Amino acid sequence: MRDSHFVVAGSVERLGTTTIPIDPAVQNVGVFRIDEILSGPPVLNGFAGRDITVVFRDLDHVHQGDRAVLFATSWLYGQSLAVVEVGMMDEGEQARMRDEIGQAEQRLSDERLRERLARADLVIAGRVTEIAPLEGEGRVVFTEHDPEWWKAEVDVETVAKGHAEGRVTVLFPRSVDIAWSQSPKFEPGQAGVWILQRDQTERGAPRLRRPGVTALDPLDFRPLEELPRLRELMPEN
Amino acid sequence: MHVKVVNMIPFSLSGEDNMDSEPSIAVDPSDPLHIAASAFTPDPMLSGSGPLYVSTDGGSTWTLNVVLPGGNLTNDITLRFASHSNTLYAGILRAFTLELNILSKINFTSPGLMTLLLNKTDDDQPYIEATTAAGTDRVYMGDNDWTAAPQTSTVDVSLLAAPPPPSNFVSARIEHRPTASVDAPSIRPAIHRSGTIYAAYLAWRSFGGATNATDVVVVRDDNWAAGPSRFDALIDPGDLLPGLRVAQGVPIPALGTLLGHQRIGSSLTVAVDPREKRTVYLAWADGTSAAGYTIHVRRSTDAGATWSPDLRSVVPATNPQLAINDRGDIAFLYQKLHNPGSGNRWQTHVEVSKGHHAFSTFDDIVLADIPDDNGTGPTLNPTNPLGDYAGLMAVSDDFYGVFCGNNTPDLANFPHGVNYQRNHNFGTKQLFDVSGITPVTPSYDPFFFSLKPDHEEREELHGVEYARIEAEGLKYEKLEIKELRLNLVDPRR
Repeated sequence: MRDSHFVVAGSVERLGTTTIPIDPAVQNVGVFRIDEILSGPPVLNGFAGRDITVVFRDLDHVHQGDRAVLFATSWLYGQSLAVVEVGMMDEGEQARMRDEIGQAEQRLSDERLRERLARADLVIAGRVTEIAPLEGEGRVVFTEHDPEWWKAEVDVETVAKGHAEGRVTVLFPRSVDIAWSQSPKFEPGQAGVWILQRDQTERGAPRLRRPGVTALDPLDFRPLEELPRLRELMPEN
Repeated sequence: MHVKVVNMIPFSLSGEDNMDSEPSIAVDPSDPLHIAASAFTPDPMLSGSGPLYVSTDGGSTWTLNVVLPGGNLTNDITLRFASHSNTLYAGILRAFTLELNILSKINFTSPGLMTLLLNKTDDDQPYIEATTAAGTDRVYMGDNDWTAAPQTSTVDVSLLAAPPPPSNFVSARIEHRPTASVDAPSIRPAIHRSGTIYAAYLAWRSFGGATNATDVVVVRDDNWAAGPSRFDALIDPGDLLPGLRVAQGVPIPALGTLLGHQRIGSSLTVAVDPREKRTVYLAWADGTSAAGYTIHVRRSTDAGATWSPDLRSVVPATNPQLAINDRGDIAFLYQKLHNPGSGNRWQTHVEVSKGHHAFSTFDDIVLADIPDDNGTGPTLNPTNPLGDYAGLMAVSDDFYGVFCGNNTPDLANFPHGVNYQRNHNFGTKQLFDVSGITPVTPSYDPFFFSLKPDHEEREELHGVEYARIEAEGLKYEKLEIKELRLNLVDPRR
């Protein structure tokens, strides 16, 4: 599941042909008819009942007419789809897979959060009291990718990791440029859980970063009711 | 002139409602049916890599090929094929870290990530050009390298663009004057096949709040930027420094100023005549406000030493692009905001002028006239729906381009027609997902276009070319073939 972004149940319709023009040098191709999409982006929901192209890892384990659960990742989006096989399982396991995929997605979600928590210096629950532009920002460069740093004053109610008392100043990019638009933005009154890094080095060009605590990944700000789950996912647990 | 306009979102992504903005385009000069393009389009499967748009039929149909490293979508990206190797080059800003990468791919339709040629940090707006000379691919990337602050305008040059990194790239610093701290993001190179390389940049001399006092500067190198004094061939007579100041101290609205929904503040393009290396066109936008944001088009016929007054000016408009075809015809692409009384709309124009007319006369082709409406889908960049640039290039007699706009399938928005690959109904003006049943809300899409001479016009053009060859004392024999494409190289120029 980790390397697969599209899980579908169906059948191998044909080998050696495709539903979409592809580079002729690509080998091990075939057509797979999707009966059910078990996991994938909503934009592709309409592909249930349609044929797609698959680049199989090899053709030794694939035969025309095989019914299977296909784990795949993306390659081409055109008139049809072409995906690259990550793995396949027998159709007999489809029912079990349907349940397990849900569990696997939850595990992956947990893993991603666990990774964010492990990287964090500070995890707090609280409420934003005020926001303001970062004083003395001292912009080094003027660019369309300027994060436009603001600060949010967060009254701390709970500390789940690290040490903090009273109030924590969280820096956040107010910019809606593509480089920053997915980073959480804060408003007065907002309550939640912040997964904070101090002097982060994972986002933005070095000259655009500012010292301080930030929550820049979309996963770094969570609803308050997730606090118990987050505590369970803490590395020490 | 035959005009083709195509909505580039493929059928399989009929259900998407992203803001797919800031497009670029590259046509393979040795096989113009092969075209690559880009926009802020994510891989829907969130594989961790981003897609390119690829076409192998001259832009009639498009497929997304997930080949870009560094995240589900890139930030800034531009593309170019080398002239003879079929290799595609990309300059990108990676998501998250904003590392600037130069990438290459020998077969742009094949699976597998593009190859890393160069990695830089603290850099912005890679704008790539490429060619093939002496059997090797030469790559020129304009970028705003903050590590060189305050003189940030840079062209990264490789005369042998092959891995491993740094792939023979060297950073040519083309700004020689003091700046207000950095230059504007747009640094644009243009290659002539003789080895003359131009680059243009917008030099911020002082920040004044609402506007920045800016010099519009052109530099030139006459030998592939191969020597130690790269881009120093054009000396400004005013201060005897390299870089001719075409305009000095013009006000340009600060970055982030909005024209409609679109931010402005760094709009620039340069193009060199493939037949005559001394003829170069330049366009930029300036003004004291968004409403006064004016594109100026000027020309030099003496290799950048002196410049015409405005040949064209358009207001309020953004995203100028220039290209010159092998006949010397000039295409000028721009996006103009207007309000006919029913709300703001973006008109995308391409004006084409014969070289000897130099915009004293021109054909004005309105490719699209689209509401300035971001739609209701996820807006990753709500103040940049069109993008900080559009795309335009010339191959042989033809022009190819790309622009972004609201994707409502309304034929009235496209005076020269449009083809949609994604599910749509021109009658009800609705989009639908792959099922054809579920409506999809309008958003921003990239649109491809091409301008090609009609058959009769093409024959006439070739006749003119024959006459030119004859007049210069060269000999030719008439060939009895249906269509002849000539790429003429005159070594005396």
